[in-house]
Amino acid sequence: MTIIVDTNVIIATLIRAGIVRGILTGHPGTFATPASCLEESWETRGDWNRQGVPEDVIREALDLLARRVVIVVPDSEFQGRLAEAAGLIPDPDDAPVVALALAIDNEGIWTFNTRDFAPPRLLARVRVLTTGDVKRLLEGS
Amino acid sequence: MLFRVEEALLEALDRALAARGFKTRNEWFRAQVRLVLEEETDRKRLSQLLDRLAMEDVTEEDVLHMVKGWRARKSRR
Repeated sequence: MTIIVDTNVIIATLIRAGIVRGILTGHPGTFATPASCLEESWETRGDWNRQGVPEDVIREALDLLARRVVIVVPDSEFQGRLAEAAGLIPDPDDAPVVALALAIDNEGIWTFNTRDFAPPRLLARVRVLTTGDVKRLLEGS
Repeated sequence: MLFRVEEALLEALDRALAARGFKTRNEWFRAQVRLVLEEETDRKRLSQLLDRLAMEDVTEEDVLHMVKGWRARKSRR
């Protein structure tokens, strides 16, 4: 089973000691993300690192997540799907996640942003999952 | 620990190990143990790092706003 995760799920894993972190770290190899989402998680650190944790700690955590938990897919692997994905979702920054979902076998995209991931043309192609959906999927597997 | 394995299976294992560059079964076994130990060490380290990064009272909606805010500023640059 492969579930695609977007940037906000990765950031929540980093900063929230709760269900999202438990699901992600408890199922190594189940989740995949575009390399650009991992990079975005790093780039946004000024917004979410409100505790002022040293940057080397953040870098190491992201590296370990990428090495041991989440499958990080280089954007070049789904380059051919990017234009199609951009036509399905309003925010171009979300296109890599959608393109990855179009490119590989998966159960859906896990995101907190269900409002932007709602166009019918997108939902006709890709399943969008809430945290509850992901929990149920994993419990049923 | 002792394992009883069929000879044909053992021969197949030896061929697979040779193809992967291992000279002996013992060498392969030690490499596997090393991998498991490294994985466990990384898992513990990640858990320690995540504990340092954890914040109280952050919701999924808060995380979403952080990302959206960063993207909005990026697109204005």
